[in-house]
Amino acid sequence: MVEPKFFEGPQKGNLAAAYAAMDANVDVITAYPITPQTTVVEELSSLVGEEEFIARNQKTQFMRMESEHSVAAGLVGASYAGARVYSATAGQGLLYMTEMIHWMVGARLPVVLSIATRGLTGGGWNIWADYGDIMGLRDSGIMIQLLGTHQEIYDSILMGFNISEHPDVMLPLFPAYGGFVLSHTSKPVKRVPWEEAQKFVIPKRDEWEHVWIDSERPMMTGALIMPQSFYAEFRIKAHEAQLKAISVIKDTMAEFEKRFGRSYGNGLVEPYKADDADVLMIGYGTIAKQAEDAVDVLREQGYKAGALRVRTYRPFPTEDILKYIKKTQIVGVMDRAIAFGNPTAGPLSTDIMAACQRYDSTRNAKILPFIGGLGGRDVTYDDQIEQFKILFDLKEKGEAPKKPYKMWGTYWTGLITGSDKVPQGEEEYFGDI
Amino acid sequence: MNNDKIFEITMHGRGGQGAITAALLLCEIAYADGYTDVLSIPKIGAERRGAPIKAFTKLSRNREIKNYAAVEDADITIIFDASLIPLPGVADAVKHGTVLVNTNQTIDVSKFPKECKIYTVPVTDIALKLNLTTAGYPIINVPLLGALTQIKYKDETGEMDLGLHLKTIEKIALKKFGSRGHLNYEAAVKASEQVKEIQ
Repeated sequence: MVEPKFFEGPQKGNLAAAYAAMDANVDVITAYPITPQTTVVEELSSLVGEEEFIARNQKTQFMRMESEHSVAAGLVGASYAGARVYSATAGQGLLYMTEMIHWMVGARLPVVLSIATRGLTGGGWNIWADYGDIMGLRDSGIMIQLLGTHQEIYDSILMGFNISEHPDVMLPLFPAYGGFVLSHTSKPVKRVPWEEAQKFVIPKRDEWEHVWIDSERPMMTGALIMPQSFYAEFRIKAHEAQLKAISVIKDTMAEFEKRFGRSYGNGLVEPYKADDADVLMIGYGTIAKQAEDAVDVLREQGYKAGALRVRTYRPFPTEDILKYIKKTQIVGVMDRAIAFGNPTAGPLSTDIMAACQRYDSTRNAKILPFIGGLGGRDVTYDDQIEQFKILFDLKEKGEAPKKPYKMWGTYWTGLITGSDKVPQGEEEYFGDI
Repeated sequence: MNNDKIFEITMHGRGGQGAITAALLLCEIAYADGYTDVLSIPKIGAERRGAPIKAFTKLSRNREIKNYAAVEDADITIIFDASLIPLPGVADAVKHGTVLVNTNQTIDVSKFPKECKIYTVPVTDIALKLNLTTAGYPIINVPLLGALTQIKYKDETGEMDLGLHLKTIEKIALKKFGSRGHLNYEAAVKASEQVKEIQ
């Protein structure tokens, strides 16, 4: 038995991701570096030759590719052959992969690909935390999980294969975490002992049910699908698989908790003092984790605040979110991404507003969209207290204040203020028509 | 001493002096010395040797650290190079707590608030004397952590040290740097002996 180089202690988020992929005993890793993901694949290139894994006869293949498009194409090829595959990327790298990501979904290939999210680039470079990259793929059919701690990165990638390779699902899963804010910071991380990880992770199959590469049994894939053929039905089945993944994610989380004693809500959402809250702040990533500190401080001052972290964004956990909105009715939704031209400018807030229309009990809930932390700007805990105070004002006075900065119906947190510094939008975009 | 306190530490260094590594090592040392949650935050920008950089560490004995934002009002400020003191965002950002400066000179304490505890330690001299260098540059980050084991922090609940041990530094240094760990540890011990309180 070889002593592992790392088992428990403060560790960078990126290295937690690399160890999780190795502990899930992946067959093929394809790699191309991009900030802030780079150290994931750097570490993997060394871990595949690490004594610990060699002694266990683990045969993970590490392939350096010439671009992200080839990384994704390599994953598609290896996955067609039934291999367990993993890679990681970020920002522009994810954009460059996009064509092949749609192929993974259409071909129903269970790829796990982690993202150290960063600002998108155009006119200037930004490499810091912002979910604009992964949000751009929110409707591509991939499953998306937005993570809040270092330990959660490790755990989610380990769980990821059980969800992605589940026969009811067979879709790619992208666990995403804030670049630098989690990728390069260090916090205590504990690995699952290798033998226990092997017992937990879904058993490997020689081939998938619907596609294989075998010279004895040749099959054709990637053919032209005419309009009168099954294109629409294939698309609907991928949507159905997304919906089926909801219970698979819950079951996987429950099983993980039973074995290892750690959990992140029910796998879909993680509530924090949300049951008896007067106002609720919904968010994702580290900002949502940090909101829990704001909740504690406000509760000490007598304000019944609550927080809800959306951990699984696709499939969208409609019922699990609405359950809490139904109780509180006054809700803020914090996005760390911008969806240009979208009704609220925030991807999550628009989804939540749309979902609320589905039931009588949530149709009249007051949803305030917030956006902040774009391009890695710090969202401080004082900013978050201020956001909660806006929600409490709405509750107590029936009206939300226009400060700190409200434009087009959305609150923009932490802007560089001054009349000449920011765009001057209408405070209320949605007047009566 | 308040066990729920989360210590917030800012390190000011120059690119190449090892401040980012120090922030990470401090996490490992504190975790081994009984802190249940630790967080190191490197402030990443366009890195280059000699440019001022910042790294942050947060240490907690009981509570989970959920705040990932940069430290704004540090409990302990570690300055790797006295020439950084007059730069914007260094001495002028110190509002309370304790300051540790690497220097073999006297420093102008009036740059810092009166109620701050201020310590100095000549770790560059210590490293050069022990020949603890890399490509000719003295290694000062581990020695500074050695000095950190000796300093005190004061607030309204009383005076306390961080509860970090030189023996733990030895253990971590050996694990991280192999045989070079011995020399790092030796320098840390020297620094812990030579650190002095000047205010």
